[in-house]
Amino acid sequence: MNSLFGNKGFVLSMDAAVAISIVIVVLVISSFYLSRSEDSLPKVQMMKTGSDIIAVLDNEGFLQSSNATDIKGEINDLLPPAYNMRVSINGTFLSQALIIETGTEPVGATFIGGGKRFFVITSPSPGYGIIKFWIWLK
Amino acid sequence: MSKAQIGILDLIIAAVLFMAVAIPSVYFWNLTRDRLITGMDYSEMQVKAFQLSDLLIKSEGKPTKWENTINETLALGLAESDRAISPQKLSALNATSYNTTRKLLNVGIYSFKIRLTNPGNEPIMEYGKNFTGQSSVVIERYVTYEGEKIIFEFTLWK
Repeated sequence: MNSLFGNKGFVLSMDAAVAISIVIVVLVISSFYLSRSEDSLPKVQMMKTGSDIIAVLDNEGFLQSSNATDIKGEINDLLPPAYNMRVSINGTFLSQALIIETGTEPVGATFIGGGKRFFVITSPSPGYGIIKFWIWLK
Repeated sequence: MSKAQIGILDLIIAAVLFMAVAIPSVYFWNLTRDRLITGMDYSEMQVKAFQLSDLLIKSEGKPTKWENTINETLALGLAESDRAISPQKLSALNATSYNTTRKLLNVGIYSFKIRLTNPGNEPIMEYGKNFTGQSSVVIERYVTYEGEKIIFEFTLWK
């Protein structure tokens, strides 16, 4: 390959073209990564909300009675409108698990937060229980 | 056309092409860098806000009766038990200066505000500085206070 000024100019131009291509690729990839990165605050907030609700149920004494209607009413009172929640209560004082749901099950690839809490029953007889929760966006 | 004329024309074309690529690249580079830094700053604020709200509503503090001797407090906590706010600790917090609380909470460059309201949004207590900055993170947590459910709102801002 012979050009009017030799091959140096062509090689330099190729070098510049490759360098610019690398810069553009780096910028496109970092921009793509930035646009894809998810804000974690909503998920953490959702899980903390679920955890706080079952802690409040325990502190207010709702778990002592294990009355499904009362517990569901309190959850509906506390749960923000954007969320649905499922709660499962099991323990030495129950013959079978108590399941409470506030809405329909999630559809598709929805993030579901969860957790559990151990609690103590004092009446009618001493015992302990586990309350598990699952929480997701409507 | 002489060699020199072709050479100058080549130089001009190369310079124009270079400017056409370099200027948008520098602009886009700076934009991406700023977005990254802003995103990292906000993530750090979110993490810190959640950690501080967890500390305040889940922990009794250190020593556990810090409200009796504020000068010997090593860590703040408002809970008498998990997510049950102690009235005595709340009163002690209210009586403590904002700067002392900032040091104990180790908020660093940030400022904060704590607000307790009942479910009807009527205020029970407010403590800290109102938002006058550029960015903030607001965390709402459910807790109990004197047997009743309330909302513990923690705002971290700068």
